[in-house]
Amino acid sequence: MKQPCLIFIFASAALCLSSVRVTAQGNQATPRTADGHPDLSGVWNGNAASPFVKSEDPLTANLSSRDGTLLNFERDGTLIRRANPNKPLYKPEFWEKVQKLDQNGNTEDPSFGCMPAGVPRMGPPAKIVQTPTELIFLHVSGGAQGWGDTFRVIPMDGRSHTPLADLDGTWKGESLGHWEGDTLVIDTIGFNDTSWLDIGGFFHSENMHVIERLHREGDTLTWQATVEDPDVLLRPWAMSTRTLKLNPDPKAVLAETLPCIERDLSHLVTKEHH
Amino acid sequence: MIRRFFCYSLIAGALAVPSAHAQDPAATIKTAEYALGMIRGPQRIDAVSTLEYWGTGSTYAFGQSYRPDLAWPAFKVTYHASLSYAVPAMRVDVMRSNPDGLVQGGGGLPLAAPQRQIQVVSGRFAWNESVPGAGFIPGSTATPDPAARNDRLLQLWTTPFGVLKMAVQAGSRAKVTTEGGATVITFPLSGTLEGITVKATLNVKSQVERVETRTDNPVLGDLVTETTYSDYKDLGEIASDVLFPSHIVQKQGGFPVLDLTITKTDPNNPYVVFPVPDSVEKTPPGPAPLNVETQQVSEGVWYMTGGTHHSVAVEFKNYVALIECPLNDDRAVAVIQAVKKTVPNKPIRYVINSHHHFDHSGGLRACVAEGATILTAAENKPYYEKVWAMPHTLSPDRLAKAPKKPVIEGVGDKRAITDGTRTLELYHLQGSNHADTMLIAYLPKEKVLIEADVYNPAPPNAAPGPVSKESVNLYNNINRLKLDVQQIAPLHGRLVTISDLQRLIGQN
Amino acid sequence: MKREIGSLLAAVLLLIAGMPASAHHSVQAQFDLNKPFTVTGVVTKVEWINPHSYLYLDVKDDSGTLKHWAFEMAGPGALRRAGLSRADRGGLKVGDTVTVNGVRAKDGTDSGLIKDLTLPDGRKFTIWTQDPNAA
Repeated sequence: MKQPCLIFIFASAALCLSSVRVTAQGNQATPRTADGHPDLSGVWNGNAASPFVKSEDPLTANLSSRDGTLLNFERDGTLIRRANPNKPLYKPEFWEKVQKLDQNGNTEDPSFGCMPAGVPRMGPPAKIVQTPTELIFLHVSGGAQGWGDTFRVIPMDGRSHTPLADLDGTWKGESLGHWEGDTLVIDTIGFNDTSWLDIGGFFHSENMHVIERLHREGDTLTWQATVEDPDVLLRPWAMSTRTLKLNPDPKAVLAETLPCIERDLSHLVTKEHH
Repeated sequence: MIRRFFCYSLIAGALAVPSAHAQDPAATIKTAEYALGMIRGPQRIDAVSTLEYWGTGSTYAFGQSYRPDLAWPAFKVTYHASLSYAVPAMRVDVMRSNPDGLVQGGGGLPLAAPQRQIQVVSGRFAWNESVPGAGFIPGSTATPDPAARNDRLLQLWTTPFGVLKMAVQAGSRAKVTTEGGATVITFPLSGTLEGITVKATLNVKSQVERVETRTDNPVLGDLVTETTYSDYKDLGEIASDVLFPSHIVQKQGGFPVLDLTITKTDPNNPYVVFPVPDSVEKTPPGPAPLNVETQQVSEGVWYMTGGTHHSVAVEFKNYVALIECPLNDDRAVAVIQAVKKTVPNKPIRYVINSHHHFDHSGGLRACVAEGATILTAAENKPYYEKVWAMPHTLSPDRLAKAPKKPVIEGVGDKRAITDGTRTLELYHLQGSNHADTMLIAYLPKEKVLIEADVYNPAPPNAAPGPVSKESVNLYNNINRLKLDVQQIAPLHGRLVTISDLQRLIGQN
Repeated sequence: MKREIGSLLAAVLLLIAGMPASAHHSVQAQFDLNKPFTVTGVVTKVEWINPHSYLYLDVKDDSGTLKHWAFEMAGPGALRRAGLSRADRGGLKVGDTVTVNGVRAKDGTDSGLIKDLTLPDGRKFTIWTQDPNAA
């Protein structure tokens, strides 16, 4: 009977996939700073890159696609990405707006037009420099992403937020950090309403409040963000946790991101996008 | 890195596209999933999660035909469905309007104005909305409808993708056979829909062409719902290679209940959400508890309410005549028990059936089991004899468990029941477009008229609705028959007087 | 719900969730993958930018008219992995003649997506090796 065989294959495949992610996990202890907190400093782009294989026929082979075609790669990847059930829960009066922004992402998504990702869309940093009074986050964009190189400075000196009315809304907002045990918590307010939370038409208001949590265990860093925006959301949105690995190369550098200039929009014939 | 590649090959090998000739259920189901564009990515996973589609056509009021031999009556509709297989949830947003030509039959026909209905199921809950997302929008209403939950979930799981997902879930309980040259996948549902078997027939392209389920119906017994899907296309504005049928026809009891031409789809996993309003979450799931309230109208005449469909019990010297055994076994049994408590030691000899619409005739089988003689319009007799012989195997009711030959007496224009002290007169209602088989009942001494559906008085403080032609027709019949009516006991609504009816239709 | 493939889907989604979803139009929203063509022209400009780098060629068409073509290609990182590093690049300079195999733009303009590139000295480089949107 084929059934038990299939289950075995699925199980071993799943185990196989999950084990790939934790290959490089050593038994390192988490380094700490003089004040006893975990030291988050480091270059955090150590996740295994996709394998590179030379190919005779570009656009088909080596694409992780169902039958090795570019069309399958794009349409399948899009559909699978959109199947992710973790999406923010908007108020009903905004449901159609989210759909419209999503479908028209080529023109509506600020990222497409080389605008910054902002917080929380920019996600965790590629490099962290931790000092006693602040954390410095350095972000780079991978290839073909338009966000560019940027930074965040997170004060850790216990200051309070500027009153919201006195803040000009920006892409990154005003961030303040503090420790809760061994977890770094970043609290940010003071946003513009131009950025999106993520691809998918996920707009937000200027009154958004973002809480990020970073935690280091050995050479693994996790980042998780929760978005509160009662103006547009029915409840806070807990984004999926991202896991980063320390780059073990002590001489690791951050690759400079190419500048973003949008040249394609006037040539697009359909609304397809990733 | 190499390990990841190995993993992908392992998965790809295991999930290679199977031969279409395989009778192995898992392989057949997989082929059907491929045919609709569900299996995507090098991981070969089922990537369809949410869906939206729009169409125009007709819905039909099941069980509400004008005459028992006719098809269910039609409404014109614009139809919009959004669903999530992950939650699982579905929102059906329909705008109904009257069909062209002469409008006959029940189910709310004729509509005073085009009517919007939004029906939602989400996880364990079912409710109706005035606007999408009602319950979270001030000024809108979300009304719990727990009894509708299983039907709505079934609607979700009988969509083409839903069928295949459930077939996968059935595992080794799914079977594949060939019928008339076509591949058929049969499998049971699970969870709250346990007990329902789905039969899915594939066309030559391995697309889901026909879906059959059987559920229990109080009148028709094991009721077949047959849905036909045809002309699959990628109808999305943004191409996704996911196919959806452009034509959907659903039949129940042999007649259409839905006929839709799909005009637009979004099968690219659109953003659709189904949050459950607090008011709905607080309502316990399952049908509302049965409640019968008994109110004396006149000496020996009781008005039995407490639900959506009322009954009237009339006491004679040696027996009781019960007007209406509605809905289903449970309601009928509750009413019978209430009658026995109110009028102990007298058998229910006669049960009067107002008309054949299923909501009014659904409890008749329980009354047959009680041993009563059914009085109904003459043209209903052969119909009831035919349908009550159909099997009730899915959920055997009282009559199925202890079969009895029904005793049915057809009523023409007039029939009277009398024991010398009290008389109950039955008349065929002429000129109604609601049902051709409508009987009204009249107690001449008590001057009480009993009617169903043609005059449903609104609550006392509610604004009166538009005057229905049926209410005017009722009044004309009262005059035609020269009935001296003081009180009216409607089988929907509340006790009123003749002046209430006169006021309503502007005769006062 | 999906009992058997549940763990697999979870593993896949984990992989997806691990990456930020930057917006990007689909290559085939702009280019017709079924319309391959070859063009030889003179390089007038190279732009190393995101999301796509651009190669501009002056091309003489059949009637001798000079047309200005714009080709999308991967960034320098991808070219390096294809074997075309800055030191080796040689002919990818303004004024050099190169031959491009690509697919045409859907809107009919003189533009395309490069599949491979042949330099004046005959070396041929495949530009897209994986995700066409890789740098």
